Amino acid sequence: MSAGGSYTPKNRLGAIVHNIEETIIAVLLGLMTLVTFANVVVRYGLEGSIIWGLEAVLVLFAWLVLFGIPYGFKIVSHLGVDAILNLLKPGPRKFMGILAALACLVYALLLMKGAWDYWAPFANLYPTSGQWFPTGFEQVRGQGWYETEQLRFPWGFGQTFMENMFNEGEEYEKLPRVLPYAMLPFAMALLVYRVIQLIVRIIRGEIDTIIVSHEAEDAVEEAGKDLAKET
Amino acid sequence: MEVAILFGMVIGFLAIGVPIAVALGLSSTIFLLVLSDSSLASVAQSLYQAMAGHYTLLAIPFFILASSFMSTGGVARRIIEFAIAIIGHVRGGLAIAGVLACMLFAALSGSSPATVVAVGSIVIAGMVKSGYTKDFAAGVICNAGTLGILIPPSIVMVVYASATDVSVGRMFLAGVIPGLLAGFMLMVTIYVIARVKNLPKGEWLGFEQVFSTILDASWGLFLMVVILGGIYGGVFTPTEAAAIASIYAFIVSIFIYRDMGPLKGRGWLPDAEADVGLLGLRVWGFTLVTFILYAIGCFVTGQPMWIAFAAAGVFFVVAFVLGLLMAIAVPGGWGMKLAMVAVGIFGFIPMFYAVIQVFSSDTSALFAIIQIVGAVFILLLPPAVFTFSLVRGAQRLQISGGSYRESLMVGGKNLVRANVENVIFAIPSFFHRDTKATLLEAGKLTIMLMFIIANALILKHVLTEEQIPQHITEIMLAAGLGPITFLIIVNIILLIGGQFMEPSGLIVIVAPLVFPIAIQLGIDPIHLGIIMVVNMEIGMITPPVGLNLFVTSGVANMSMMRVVRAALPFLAVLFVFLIMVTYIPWLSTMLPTAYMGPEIITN
Repeated sequence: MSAGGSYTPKNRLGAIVHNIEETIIAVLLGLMTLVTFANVVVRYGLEGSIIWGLEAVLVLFAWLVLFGIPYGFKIVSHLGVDAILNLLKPGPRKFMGILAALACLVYALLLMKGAWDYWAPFANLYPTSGQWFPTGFEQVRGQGWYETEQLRFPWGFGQTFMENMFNEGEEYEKLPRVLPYAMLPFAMALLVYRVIQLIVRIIRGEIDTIIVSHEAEDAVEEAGKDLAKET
Repeated sequence: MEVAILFGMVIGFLAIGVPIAVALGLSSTIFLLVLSDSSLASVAQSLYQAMAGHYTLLAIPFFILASSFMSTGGVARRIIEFAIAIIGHVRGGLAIAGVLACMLFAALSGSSPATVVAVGSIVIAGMVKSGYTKDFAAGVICNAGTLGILIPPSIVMVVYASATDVSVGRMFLAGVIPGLLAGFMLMVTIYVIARVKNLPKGEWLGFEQVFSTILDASWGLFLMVVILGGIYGGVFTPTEAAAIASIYAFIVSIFIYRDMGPLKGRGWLPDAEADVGLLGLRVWGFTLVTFILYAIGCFVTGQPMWIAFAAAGVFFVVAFVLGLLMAIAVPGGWGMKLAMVAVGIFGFIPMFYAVIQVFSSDTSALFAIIQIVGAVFILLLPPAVFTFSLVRGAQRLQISGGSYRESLMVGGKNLVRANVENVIFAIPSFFHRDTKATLLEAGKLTIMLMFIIANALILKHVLTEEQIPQHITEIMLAAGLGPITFLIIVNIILLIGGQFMEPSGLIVIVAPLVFPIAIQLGIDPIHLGIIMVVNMEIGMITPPVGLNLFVTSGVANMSMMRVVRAALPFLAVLFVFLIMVTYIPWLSTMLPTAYMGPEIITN
C-alpha cells in the first residue's frame, strides 16, 4: 500500500528534518504495535498484564496522528476531491489552490489557539481569552497536578524535574497530563508553519494543489508505466 | 436550515480543493463558534480524544500495518498463482481467477485502491497476453477490487462499529456471506460472458500444482485465520488481533517470504539445490511448523511443553515415511494413487468422522453447515496440502535425479541455514530500512484516514449537540416513512456521497444521522452497516467520479470513459447485489445471530 505524496527536501537541513519526521512516525507506530503485542503475550504467557499498556498505546496513537498531520501537509498526501480542479486551466487552478490553502491556514490557526487553551492549564500556564481570536490571557488556576490514569515515569526519569516544574515540588504518583497533551500545541504550531510553507510553494509554482484524490497515486502511476511496457 | 448551511460549507470547501478533513473540521468549528458558546479548546480536545478515547479505532493502524507488510508484489503474485491453479482452466478462467485473487487479497488488505493496484497490475497484463481484451480485464478488476471493504477484516466496518457502538466482531461476521456472494455473482457473470463470447481458457495444472500454490500462499492467507480465529475464539479483542496480525505479517514477509528486509533475495533453497532439496525441505519444514503451532498452543493453554515435542516427533515419523514412499512412487508412476490414499487416511477419514458427529448431534442446520465447512478446512485441507506438496517435491527430486537420502540432507541443511539466518537477522530486521519504510507507509495512511475520521467526529459532535439526528428522525417518521423508502433514501445518499468522500469519513458522518431512524423502524444495526458498506463499494465504481475508476484507468492506461464502459456490465451485477443485500436482511444477520446471539441494540 502506498500513501501518495512525494517530497524531496531542498537542502541538507531539510533532509535532516524530513528524516527525523519519518523516523518519529515509524517509531511511534512500531512502539504501538510492540506494546499491544507484548500485552497479549504477557496476558497469556505470564498470566499478568502490562497495566499501563493500553493507555500508553492510545497516547502514542494520538501522537502519531497529531504529529503526522503537518507532515501529511508537507508531502501533500491529504485526501481531497479534485474532480472540479481538474477541469480548470492552470491559472484558476493556482488561485483555487491558494484559496484552499488559506482555508487550511484558518483551520490551523483556530486549532492552534484551541490546543494552547486546552493544554495551558495542565502546564500551569494561562489560556488565552476570547472566543475565536486571542484577546489576552485568562488568569485561571493551574491543573499541573492532574495525572494520567496509569502511566508512570519510566524508571523515575525526569520525575523530580517535572514535580518542581509543574507540581510545586509535590510528588507525582503517575505521569502528569501535561506531557501527553503537549503534542497538541506542538503539532498545531507545526501545522501553521507547514500550511504557510504550502502557500509559498503554490505561489512560487512548485505545486498546484494541496490534495491527492486517493491514497495510491504514486503506486498507480508506477503500475501504469509497468503495464504499458509489458503489453 | 443551519444543517443545510453546515453541509453547504463542507461541499463548498471540498469543491475548491480543501482536504476533506479540513473541510469537515473547519465547517464544524465555524458552526460551533457562531451558533454556540463552545470553546476552541473543546475542539482541540475532541481532536485529541478522537484517537486517545477510541479503543476500537486503534485497530485501524494495526490493520493498515499488517496489510502494508502483506501488500508487497510477492504476496499478490503468490495469491494470483494460487487462484489461477484452482480456476484458470475453465472458460474465462483467468478473469475468474482475477476475481478470486481480489477477494483473497482484499481479505488481507483493507483498501480497495491498494487491491486494484496490487492485483490489477499483474492480472490485467496476464489477461491481455492470453487474449482477453484490455477493457474486459479492466472492468473485472475494477469491480472485484471493491470487495476489499466488504470482506473482513475491513477498516470501514471498524469505523462503522465505532460510530454506532455495535461490535466489530459482529460486523466482520456479517460481511462474510455478502462478500462471498458478491464474488460468486461476479464469477458467474464472467463465466456466462466467457461462454457466450468464447473467451480463452487455461490448462488444468494438476492437483500437485494447486496444493503447491496453496502452500506458498498459505503463509499470507493464514493472516485471516489469525485475525478471525483470534476474535471469534475469544482470545483477542479485534484491536489486539490486528496488532498480532501486523507482527505476524512482519515475520512472514521478512523471514519466510523474504520479499523485503535484510534477507531479501536469499531463498530457503539456493537455485542449484532447489530440485534436489525440495522434498526434504518440506518434510523437515512441516515438522518444524507442527512443532511451532503446538508450542504456541501449549504456551497459550498452559499445557506442558513436552506435548509439542511429542507431536512433532510423531509427525516427523509420518512425514518421513510418506516422503520415502513418494520418492519411490512418483518415479514408479503411482504417486497420485499413493497421494489419494494418504489424503484418504489422514484427511477424509477424520473429516467423515467429524461430519458424522455433526449429523448425529442435534445442532441447528446452520451450525451444522458451519461445522462441516470447518471440518473440511481444518481436517481435510492441511493433509491434502501436505501430501500433494510432497508429490510436487518428489517430482522435482525425480527431475534432479537425486536420492531421498540426499534430498533429506540438502533440505535439512538449508532449513538449518535459513533458520540460523533468521536468528542472526532477527534483531537487525527491526531496524532495517525496509521495515522503516513499511512502518512509514502504514503511518502515512493511518494519519490520512484518522485525520479525516477525527474531523468527521467533530462534525458528528456538532450534529448531536444541535440534536439534528433527533429532528431528522422526527421529520422522517412524521412523514410516514417506511423501512423500504428509508433504505432507498440511504442508498441514494451513500451512492452520491461515496463518490466524493473517503468511505470511513462518510460513515462517521452519515451513520449517526440514519442510525436512530433505522432503530425506530426496526432495522437491524448490523444489516444497516452492511448496506452502508455495499453502497460505499458501488459509489467507488459509479461514474462520474468513482475512486476505483480513477485507479483502474491509471493502472491500465485507459481513459476514464473506456473504464466506465468496461465496468458497466459488472456494475449492473453489483447493483442487483445491493438490492439483494438491502431487502434480504438475513444475508447479513444470519451468521452473527447464529454465532453470537441476536443483536441487542434494537428498538
